[in-house]
Amino acid sequence: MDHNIILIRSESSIRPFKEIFEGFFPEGRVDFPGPRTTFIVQPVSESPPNPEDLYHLLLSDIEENLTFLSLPGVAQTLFGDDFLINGLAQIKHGHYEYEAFLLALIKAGKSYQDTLRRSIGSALESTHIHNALALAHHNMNISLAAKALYVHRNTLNYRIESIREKTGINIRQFDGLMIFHLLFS
Amino acid sequence: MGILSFKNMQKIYEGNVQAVTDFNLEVQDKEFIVLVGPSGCGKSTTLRMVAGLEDITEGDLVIDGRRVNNVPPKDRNIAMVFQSYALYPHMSVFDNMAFGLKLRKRPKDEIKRRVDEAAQILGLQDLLNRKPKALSGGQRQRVALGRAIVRDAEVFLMDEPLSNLDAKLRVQMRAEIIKLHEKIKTTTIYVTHDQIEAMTMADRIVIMNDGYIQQVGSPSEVYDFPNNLFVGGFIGTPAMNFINGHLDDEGHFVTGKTKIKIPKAKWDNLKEQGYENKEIIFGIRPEDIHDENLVKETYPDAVTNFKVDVAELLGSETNITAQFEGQTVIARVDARTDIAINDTIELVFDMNKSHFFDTETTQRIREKDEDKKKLQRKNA
Repeated sequence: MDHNIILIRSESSIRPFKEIFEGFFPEGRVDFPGPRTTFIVQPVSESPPNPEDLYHLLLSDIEENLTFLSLPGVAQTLFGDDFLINGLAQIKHGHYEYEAFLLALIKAGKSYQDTLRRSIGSALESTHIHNALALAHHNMNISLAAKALYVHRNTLNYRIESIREKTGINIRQFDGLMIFHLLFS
Repeated sequence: MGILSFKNMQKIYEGNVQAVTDFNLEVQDKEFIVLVGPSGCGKSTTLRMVAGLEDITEGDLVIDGRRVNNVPPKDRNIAMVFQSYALYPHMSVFDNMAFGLKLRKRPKDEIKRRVDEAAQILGLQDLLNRKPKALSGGQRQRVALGRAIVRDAEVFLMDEPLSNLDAKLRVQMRAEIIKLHEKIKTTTIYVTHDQIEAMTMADRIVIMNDGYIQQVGSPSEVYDFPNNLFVGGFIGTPAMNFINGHLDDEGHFVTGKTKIKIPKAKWDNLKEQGYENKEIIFGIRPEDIHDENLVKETYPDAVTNFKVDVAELLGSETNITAQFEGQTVIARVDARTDIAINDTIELVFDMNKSHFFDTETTQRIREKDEDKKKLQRKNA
């Protein structure tokens, strides 16, 4: 089943909040891989609870800095739990969506960049990466990028969608395309 | 008490990104302060520094006489309300409001008393056993406010709490928050990018841009006496019109082929400050451009022709976007005026309401009796 994951890192232990997490994500599975880390797997549903709501609730109740990630399930397959949990500890506190998290990891150092490059690269064909870079080169203009690649714009649109399916990264958005530009150009 | 003192506060992020520069402000007990400005101006960063969620790079933050730069958030006695107005879906209204107090291990009877008091203030007494999904949008917002009220904090921090709401609920909640502040009188710092919220809710507005405070003042003060072009353009919808031109030596503002007579007191002041025969920016609010004959007769030297680009009927008034000496000007006139696109119409500037800005510094050129006028308004 398709799922999303939520990772939370706090300054003090939030294990006592297990009930809160289970109440907020009734269909989810809550784990604590470390004393200050929470890992929630939440199946995709029609009206899912908004993880950012939980971030704000916890922030106002616990009153301490939290690092809070909302990621698509494909991130787990692509990078593995350990990499995500380690990455969580490397970035500044705040709420991150997927692409913002990957950008923060790129900033965190070369070893993270290498792993991201390897994992994303192995999930895609070289054509995908070449096409993403062409899109960046043409200021996100799909028509111009397709023309430069000698493909129909629908073909390029199909490949963009395929990148999203395989990596969870939306290169129609600036942050998503920036990840490819920083890792592969 | 909830007295806050910001002294030369700065926030510099890694990479030498300066988010807030030299922030100085004294917030009085029970005051409702609104920080307003465009995205990225540093208002939320400032609020997060008060909350203790961001480190203060330089300067001091003093709450009730105690420097709190290094005090953890939970020991600052503040309550935060965030954008999403979220609630725990599996808890009753009572438990949602009580949760923060339970975490702080307050005695049960005290928790009950505080939740009951907050419910009384917010009119939620009959809803305490309901779950959030059984509440209307407005009721949910009130519970979210209740979660802050029960904390009995010295200061409320609100970070764009209305920005996720639809237009109708936003207006309703704006009024609720004003009423609430009247009742409980807790010092509040409220962040928004919406200048209408700022104007309607604040005791004092702090207008920020690029990390700097541009002006601090009451809503009427920042509207009528903007410090600079930024404030003049940011506060007011539609924004203040700015027309480039110069002053001659006979008391006129000149732009293109148009000469507009400046009232004597304003002209004397401009002349005294050395702006005679100099480039200047003329500012006028849309509502100070008129089409009524009476005003035209009063200021015959300020009547000019405009070519209408767009006429937007808003019901009680019409906003006219027009070309004036190659510059775009917006006027707000009575809706009864029959105006069509491409018409050439006569409008008149109410020059007593005019503002003049220095082209280099972008600061408004102050008038001599300005402080007196501000004081009169304050006393009134």
